Amino acid sequence: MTSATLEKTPAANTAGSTANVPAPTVPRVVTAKTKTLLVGFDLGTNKSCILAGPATGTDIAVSKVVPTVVGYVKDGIVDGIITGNARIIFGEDALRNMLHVRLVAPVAEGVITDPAAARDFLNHIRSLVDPAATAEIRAVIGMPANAGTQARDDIRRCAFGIFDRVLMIPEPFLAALGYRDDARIAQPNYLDPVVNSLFIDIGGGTSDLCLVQGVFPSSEDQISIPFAGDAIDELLHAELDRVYPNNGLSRHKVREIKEAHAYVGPSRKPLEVRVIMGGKAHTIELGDTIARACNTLIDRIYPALTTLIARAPSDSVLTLLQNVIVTGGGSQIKGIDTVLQKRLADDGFEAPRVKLAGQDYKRYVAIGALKAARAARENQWQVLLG
Amino acid sequence: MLREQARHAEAEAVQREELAPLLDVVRAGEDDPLTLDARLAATMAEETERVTNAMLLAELLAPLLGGRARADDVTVTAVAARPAPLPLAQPVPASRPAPVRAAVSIADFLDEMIAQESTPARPNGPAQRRAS
Repeated sequence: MTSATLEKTPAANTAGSTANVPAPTVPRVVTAKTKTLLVGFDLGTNKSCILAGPATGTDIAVSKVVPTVVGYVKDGIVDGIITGNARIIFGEDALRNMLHVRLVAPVAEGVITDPAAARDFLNHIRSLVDPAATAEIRAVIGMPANAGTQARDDIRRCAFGIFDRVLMIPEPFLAALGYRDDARIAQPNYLDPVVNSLFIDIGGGTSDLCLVQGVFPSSEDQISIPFAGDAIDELLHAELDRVYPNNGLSRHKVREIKEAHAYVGPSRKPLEVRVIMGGKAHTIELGDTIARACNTLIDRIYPALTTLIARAPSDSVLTLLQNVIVTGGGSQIKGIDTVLQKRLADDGFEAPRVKLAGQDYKRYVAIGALKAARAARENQWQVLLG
Repeated sequence: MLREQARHAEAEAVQREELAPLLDVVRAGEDDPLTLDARLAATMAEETERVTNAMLLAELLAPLLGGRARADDVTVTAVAARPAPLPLAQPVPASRPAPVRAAVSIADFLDEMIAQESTPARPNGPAQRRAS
């Protein structure tokens, strides 16, 4: 049976030289720009979220979550198998046709690792936002906390000729902006997350923590941990191979199992999962396996959490502890808020309260990015130079 | 004022233990308590806005009146350790004030971000740091 693999390039050393960005493989027609569209863009390792709308007003014309994956159609595929006989497909389309394409993930640990595929992906995003290719596109792009100069330069080079202007802003700060309820800012009892909060954004490639206390966070206010959803998948996969050798379960299937059953805290048994191995249905018990993999995330995040709490001004800490917010895909891990809160309380922190961002967790970075795009002054936008 | 300084517990105590009994006395002598409540809500909203604006003005004026400019702090102490926590009676260090409900716009945040990016990083500074 043919199995599809996802090509991932390891995250580049930030001190290394920048790879040359090839010319775009998807031609773009250049026409006169008749309007300006603003884009809030969460370029995630596994999933990207795009919100777009006109420069004035509050309308959102485009709202999409797209798997961050490019599929290059293999030679010899029969006509009609791929819609429109396209040579390059993206997102869900690429995953659906994974047997017929070479799947490439252009982003790893939150930064671009395959510039050519990243450029193709950005072109696809642009076509979603502006199918007629007549608009000036200004994009606010989320970056992992403390992303280095190389990561930013790679984005700029890949976006040249695709977006007209960009702003790159750390994702946890964007999450705070997005999570903030603008209608309640003036209410005296409202705990404005932008004024005093600690955001924990657990994505696919990185877990980013950020103090947001009424000023733009400095590098000391942010910690990025290269351990997140993908790392849990790796641990789970390795554990499954150990307990159930030759199980044949794909990474995609293991991720599905994680997303359906992930939890932290004491082991919950039995946790029975039905899987197909070798064409036959099996029920396997995964309580301990999932707990070990997911609790590793807590062990990595917690020290960073207490480090940032220690860096906050002492007068602010009591309120800060009431406003610890978990967002991103990792916020869907059952019990993550309770476990973190309990650890803080057990360690003597005063009345901590860890909250989940809620059902819009996939969109808060993009929402914040679009808010930033609408608020940015003309001289704050970066013009991309080739 | 207490809410602006994020001292919510104290604000609630004042509202509950001092303001509420006074309002009860006023209501008892009022023919139309609903109108009183509406006027009270409007007054509270006005006062909240007035205090917010006053705090913002104070933030803007403080550097001009004698503290160090915020830009100097960023340039000189961009990667310096935070000052040690002070007792409550002491003022909070100018380089890292306690958070207040400030009407700072998103564009102002972006200015701060651009200012940080323009500041050269120290060798092996935190701009390149990632936790292991």
